[in-house]
Amino acid sequence: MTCSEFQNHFSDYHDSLGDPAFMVAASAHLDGCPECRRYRGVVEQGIEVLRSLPGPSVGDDFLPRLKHRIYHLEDGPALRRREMAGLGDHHDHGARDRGADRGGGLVPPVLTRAPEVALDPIVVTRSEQRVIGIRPASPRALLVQLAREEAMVHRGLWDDPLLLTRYSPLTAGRTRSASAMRQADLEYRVGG
Amino acid sequence: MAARTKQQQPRFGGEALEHRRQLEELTDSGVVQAFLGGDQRAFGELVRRYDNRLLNFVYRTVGDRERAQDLVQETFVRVYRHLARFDQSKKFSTWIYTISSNLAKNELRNRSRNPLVLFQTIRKNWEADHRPLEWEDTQYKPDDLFRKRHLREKVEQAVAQLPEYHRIVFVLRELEGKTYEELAEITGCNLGTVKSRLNRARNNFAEIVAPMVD
Repeated sequence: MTCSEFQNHFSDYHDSLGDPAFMVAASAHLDGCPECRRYRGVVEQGIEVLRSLPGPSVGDDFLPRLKHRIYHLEDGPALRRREMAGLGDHHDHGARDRGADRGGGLVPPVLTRAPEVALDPIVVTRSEQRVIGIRPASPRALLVQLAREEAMVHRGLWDDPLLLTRYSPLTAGRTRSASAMRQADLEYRVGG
Repeated sequence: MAARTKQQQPRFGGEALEHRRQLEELTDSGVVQAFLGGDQRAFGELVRRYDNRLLNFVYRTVGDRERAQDLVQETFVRVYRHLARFDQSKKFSTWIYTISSNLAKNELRNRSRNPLVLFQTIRKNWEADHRPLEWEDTQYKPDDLFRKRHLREKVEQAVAQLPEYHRIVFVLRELEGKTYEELAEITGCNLGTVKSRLNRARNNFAEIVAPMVD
């Protein structure tokens, strides 16, 4: 057996598919041929490395996506059937219902026809009045409003002891004591 | 398809778990029959059995992980739709691999018509260069580590470089352990063609990998 004959029929030898005479001749050739021994070693070692490579795994979204696709599997054919029957573009979920009859957990039952909804009529006696912006009744009311806004701005967050104790990182929100609250109230009254 | 009432479907924790155990003990053929008998959970069992195996095969064939995942998903959708037409005298695994293989071949054909550069191909090389050495086997010397890593890359490249038809039979034989008869059925070729393709694939593979092997 020559080297090219061995390499051309290597798979027969490697997978033990050759007839007994071939297997004996191939083994004899291997014993005396370092080049073909190396060839066999390269193939076997390469395949061993290939098998040791980590294989990919499906992602976390694989199963939910598959379930979603299967759930909508009948949509396309059902729509086409509906269109061919000239019944408009209402969704025909009959196929899905049949799936549900099979006992399928993937295919829940749904309505087989478009729902009809009756609403009470709306009676209109006059046009709707829309308020655009806020206009003060008089110049005096405008002045009062401006003074009130100014006072709110000047007061600010830090002048309010309740807000101060409630949101201070030192009082730690819920764990603040009643005495701290009383003290803050007192200080506010004295200061105010 | 035999009807099965909703009362017969296991719904709750313990019952569902027990049902799953029962399904796990069945052969592929048994699970297929359970599904055709109306047990929808049997389909989940088929997915669990084949998702990663098919992904490995398709990924080695098309070389893109995300796309491979899409194709595996498409395989399961087709199985769901056409399982009633499956000839149960045949092996289920051969049938599902045939579907996957055809989808992978279509993908490669479409890609050759509309070539694009896959980001993953670029990223794969980047990852190999920047992977920290401490995650590898510390018993090896740096030279050995480098050589080992390079050999892995070469092996992956060698598979990716094989012609499409050779690659499919090579991966199915070497990674999935399919017999020659199964290969013939999956690829739709006769035994002689399968043998010839596999032998050529091994020859090409050896040529690429040889410089890295002692």
